[in-house]
Amino acid sequence: MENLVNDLFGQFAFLQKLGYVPTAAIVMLACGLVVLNFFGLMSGLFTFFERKVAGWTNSRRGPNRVGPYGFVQFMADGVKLILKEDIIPAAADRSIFKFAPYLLLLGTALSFVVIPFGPKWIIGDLNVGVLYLLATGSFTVVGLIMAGWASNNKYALLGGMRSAAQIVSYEIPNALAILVVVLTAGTMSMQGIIRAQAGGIHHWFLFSSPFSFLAFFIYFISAIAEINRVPFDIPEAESELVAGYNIEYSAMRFGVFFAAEFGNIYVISAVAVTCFLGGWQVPLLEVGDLGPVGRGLGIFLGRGDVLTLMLAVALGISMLAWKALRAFVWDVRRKQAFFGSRFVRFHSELLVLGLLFAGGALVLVLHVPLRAHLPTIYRLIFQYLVPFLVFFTKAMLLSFVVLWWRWTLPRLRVDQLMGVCWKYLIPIGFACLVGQGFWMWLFS
Amino acid sequence: MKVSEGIKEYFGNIYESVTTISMGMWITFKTALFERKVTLQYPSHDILKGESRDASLPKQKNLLPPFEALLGASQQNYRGPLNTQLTERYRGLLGYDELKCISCLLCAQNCPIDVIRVKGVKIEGRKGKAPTTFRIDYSKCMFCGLCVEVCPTDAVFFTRQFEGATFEYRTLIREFISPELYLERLQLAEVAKKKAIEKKKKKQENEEKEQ
Repeated sequence: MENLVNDLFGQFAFLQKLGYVPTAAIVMLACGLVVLNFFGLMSGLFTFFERKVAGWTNSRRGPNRVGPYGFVQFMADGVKLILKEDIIPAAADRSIFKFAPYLLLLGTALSFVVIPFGPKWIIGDLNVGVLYLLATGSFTVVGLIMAGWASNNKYALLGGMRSAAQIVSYEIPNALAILVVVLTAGTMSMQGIIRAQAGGIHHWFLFSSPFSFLAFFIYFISAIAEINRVPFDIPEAESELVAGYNIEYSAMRFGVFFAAEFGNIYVISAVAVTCFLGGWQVPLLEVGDLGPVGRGLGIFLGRGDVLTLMLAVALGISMLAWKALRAFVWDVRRKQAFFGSRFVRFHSELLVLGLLFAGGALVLVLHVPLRAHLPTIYRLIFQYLVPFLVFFTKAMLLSFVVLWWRWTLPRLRVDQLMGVCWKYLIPIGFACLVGQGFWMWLFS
Repeated sequence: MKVSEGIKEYFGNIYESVTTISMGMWITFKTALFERKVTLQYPSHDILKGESRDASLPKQKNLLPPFEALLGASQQNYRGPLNTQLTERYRGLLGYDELKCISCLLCAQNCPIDVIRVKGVKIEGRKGKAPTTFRIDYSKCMFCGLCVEVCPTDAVFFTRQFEGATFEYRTLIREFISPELYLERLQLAEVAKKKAIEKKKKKQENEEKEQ
């Protein structure tokens, strides 16, 4: 953040006229807006994504009525939640009841501050980034207990108590697993941890040693437990507690609980990607000092037209291949549908191809006046867009695993839950920490 | 319990949980991505292919989002028009065959809620009476099937049509005899009446002659 403010302050004259403090304030406000909106969008998308995955695992389709493939469903849900009546029980502790969901939301939204999107895209690269993440994660338990207590409902209170027991227990293996990473990377800054994993897939902490490999699973399990997701969702176990801590909530206050929960999915996958899966690093194509393949691609960077055309052709071919795969391998019954009878079906591919080529042609035409700036543009793309997409893809894949778990595994009993934490994750976590120390002593 | 047994159990538990979880996840993964979806996307499917839909009902609009229609996603798993997939004894909306009806009024009399209203006249060249009015109020009908059971000529029957929803109540009252046919029937009935009277007269004359 400081870097960003300094950069902007140095580059633009009108900001210097404005003064340093107002500039910093504006940048802070803008960053806050971006982060909150990204958070809202992510949690919205995850509600949709979760329903889709739920449908798929049940051989259903999931939502597919609002917008293309039901993509805008989450907006419809949000509008509905906002318009509904917000009921507060008469016996509830009003101020705490009203405040609790926002505290939960605050914890999640604050985590987004240290989540990197690229080598230069991060709101605040704190030197204690990981510690900060653990701290913001604890907001959840306070929010849940407040919600449970203020509702004045025995089920809500039970849910809150359970969540306290669970989250406090699971913070230990969570911290232990992250400690392994901190030990290996030698830093707590998120960007520092990612930079420590540079140089190919075998340098990612997931694969760099058997102990950090185990630590990844410990982190992932305990993080899922910490955000109260199935199979560790005993605070909101429907079969036992009706709905748990959020039983008395309605309308958007209820929605805020879910926004926080779904935002947390992205947070834990992003942290797992940062700590174990190399963050925004691409194997063989290291951003920054472009790796071997990156250097080869560098020849094309000056030739934007060729690159774009190749990209368009590759996209078109892969799209056709995808459709053919679907038609022939996955859906044998509709073999003829691909070629002959279904004109619309075939037509759609042609349409997409045409659009791609039109886009390519547009870039071809545009690149003539932009020729002088092309290296800058491609540098920007490689420094900002590509790392972001890489990071985002990795995080989304991990999030899919989280959703996938939810629709596969049954809920744990309370004693089993505590058993998993105290008997298995924590001892193994300590063993990993010590083992990683020995590993580093042996091999470096 | 010996220490070695405890260790065995500890690592056995870990092994078991890892293997069972991965097995379960493989099953859901297969189901999620490779298995055929069972959802029948009822209105959109039936509309894209439904040749067998009853033409007398107003056509529904295509409910598909345009993008999905473009990619043909809605056509997956098409199993034929929905009407053909119903069970044999499905009780859809009541149907009526005017040619078979003899206006015996059994259906109207058996109906527990006066859904059916029948009137008939005697015309020439037809067994029983010919119907001049046959009206079914679908808004009241509860599909009990008493009329269908009792009909001696199978003129009243259950169709496979189930899409009865409309915006107005009165559209649910259905006349099966058109006004033209009604007028025609009345004329025919008058002709038949005249003929019958003539017949009677002739008969009487004959009888008088005989006497």
